[in-house]
Amino acid sequence: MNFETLMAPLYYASILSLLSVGITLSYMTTKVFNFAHVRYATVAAYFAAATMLSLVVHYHITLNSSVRTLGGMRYILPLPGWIYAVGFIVASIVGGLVSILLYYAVLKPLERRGLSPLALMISTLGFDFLLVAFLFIFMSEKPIINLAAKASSLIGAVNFASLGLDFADEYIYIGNSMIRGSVLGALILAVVVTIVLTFLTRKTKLGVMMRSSIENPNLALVLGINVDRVFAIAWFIAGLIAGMAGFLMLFGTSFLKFISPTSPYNSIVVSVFAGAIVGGIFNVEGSIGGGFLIGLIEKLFVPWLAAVMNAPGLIKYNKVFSMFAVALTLLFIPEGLASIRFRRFRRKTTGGEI
Amino acid sequence: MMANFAVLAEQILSFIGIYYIVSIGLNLKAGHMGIPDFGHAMFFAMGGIVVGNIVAHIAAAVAAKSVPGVTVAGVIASNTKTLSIMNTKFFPYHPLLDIGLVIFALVLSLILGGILGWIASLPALRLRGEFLAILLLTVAEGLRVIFTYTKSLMGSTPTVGLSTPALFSWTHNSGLAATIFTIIVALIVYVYVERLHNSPAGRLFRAARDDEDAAKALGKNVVTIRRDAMIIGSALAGLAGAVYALNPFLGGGSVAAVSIFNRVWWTFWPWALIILGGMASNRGTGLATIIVGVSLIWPVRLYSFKVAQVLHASALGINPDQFANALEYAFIGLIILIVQAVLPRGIIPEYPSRTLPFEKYARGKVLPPKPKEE
Repeated sequence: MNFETLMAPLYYASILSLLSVGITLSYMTTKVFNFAHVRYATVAAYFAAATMLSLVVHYHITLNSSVRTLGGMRYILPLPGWIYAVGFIVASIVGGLVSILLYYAVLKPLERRGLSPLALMISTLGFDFLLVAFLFIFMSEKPIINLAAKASSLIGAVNFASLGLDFADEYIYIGNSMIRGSVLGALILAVVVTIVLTFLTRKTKLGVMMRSSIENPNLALVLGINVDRVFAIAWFIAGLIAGMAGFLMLFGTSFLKFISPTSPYNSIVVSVFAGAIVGGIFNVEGSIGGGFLIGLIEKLFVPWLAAVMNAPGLIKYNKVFSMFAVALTLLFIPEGLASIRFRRFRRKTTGGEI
Repeated sequence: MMANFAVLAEQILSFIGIYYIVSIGLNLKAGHMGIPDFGHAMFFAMGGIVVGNIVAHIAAAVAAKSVPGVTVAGVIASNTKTLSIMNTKFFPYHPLLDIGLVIFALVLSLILGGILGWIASLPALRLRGEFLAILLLTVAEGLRVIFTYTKSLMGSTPTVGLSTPALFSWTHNSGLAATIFTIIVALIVYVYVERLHNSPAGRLFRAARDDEDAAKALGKNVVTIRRDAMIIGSALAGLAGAVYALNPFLGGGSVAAVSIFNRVWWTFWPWALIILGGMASNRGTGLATIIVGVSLIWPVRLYSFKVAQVLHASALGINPDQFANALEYAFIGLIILIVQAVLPRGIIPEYPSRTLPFEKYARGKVLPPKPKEE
């Protein structure tokens, strides 16, 4: 097992965990499973790609390295760091804004009409379809590919239209092995998001307000907390994180094609839900762990199992394993892995102090 | 022009018939019984597999004796070739066998859909609400993956799938025959669900949905009620799948894992239709299907290119195909959002059961018995 084989699973798992945590955040606050959540990432990714390519065109950026070919895929040349930074900021803000839009334009008015959580869940589905329609019309691949073609004419000799939307990574060398920058970025981002969210919910005033609003909205309202605004902030944070995940998706080989509206295989939604549920739908840190677990099961455990059992066809069936993970979790530990109190087991085994 | 109009009418009627059956199956589960089934597509897919795989195998076993070039193994191995030979040289000349196969396909799809519904009802007895919805969504996705990549089930390429046997090719106009067949099945299903709505069993569904504890207190077994609703609704979805596979208009003469397991087409569209029509309202679902069928197929699918032209879409870099897709998605999204905001109970809200005594009193023939005075 070397670094290179670990890279794709880690990257995938980090993105899943970043998306799962948003599902958990929005479920904890409003008790609504958000079907549109994964689409935020797509929308954010398209906006980020368009911004980055426009910047390349506008500032006539010339690059001196040549086209990289890796595993049959050719990549857009690595761009200057500040363009990536702008793309990252654009992606996260777009994600957050879309999330706020869903909260204020759809969920709040419908909730005021007394719709059940299930009906609200279906309304997020409706919003998801509107986002898909928006992507089809305004952010279809063609305008972006046109932009990319313009950018390529500046850089020269590269036909971007045939490249899809994959941006190149910086490579970092540790000893003899090579780490992709996006993998490292995704891992660091997942860790940072966990720490920040833990700090936010446990130590800050906003976090206390958020937890009390979740625990008992009416009491929180009496105490002068603006529950609506607190929940809206939670939704904004969820969208922000989804936008960051969307930015990271730009670097995956054909990751964007998986979630693009034209693809019939947009099955990442189910994996994200699986991560949120396996980790614990009532626990933010748990859902990050759950997303990681599902990602690693799908991209690391199943290929390993296929290699051990000498059945290469098994790799394609990786979603079936996450299906079983969800079914077992919901039927036996409905509050997820985070709800298991491991200390209890330890006490039993040592049989010591009570 | 006339011919075009006929084809258009057949398309619309086929759409209405198939979507009515699949939506009414979902309405039984979600509307009458309150089970939020987000994995409805997997029951639908059972019907598609019955026609595309099992019926094709049986027909090939019969045809292999008389028609050269047809083998049972060829149904999967060289699907397109085998089925095109059978569709031109075998099915048009054996009307009785075709009719038998159609009936067999309907019955088997009902049974398979019901069995899968029974299996799916096992977790439905333990979980409630959104968690059940997510679980069923995940299970449907898992099944889709299994069927997509298993060659012996859906053929070698998942996007192409299996060609379906043309079991109406013995008629003069097979498209018209398939449309009439679709409408007849849909009407039978409508009569059945209306009778179920009025029957004690149907009233039990809604009683257990509205107040589980009261139903239990009256000695009803809520577990078996939920199971029954799940089995009937899923069986109807399976039936819709078989009708879809036999109909040349929506499926285009083939069933593929990407089409019959499609979440958007067979889970979310039926949800939008029953929300528009009204939960637990069989007539409302019918009206919603007709409205959407006429207004979707007609303007959206046919005139989206013209709309795209008027908007100078291609100058903006919008592909007309994508524009049609976008209109369809915007349509379904807007239906869900607007109906939930404006008409949360649907265009025809849930109506009371017309039981025998209710009919008598409603028509004023018999006066209701006076309450005893104490």
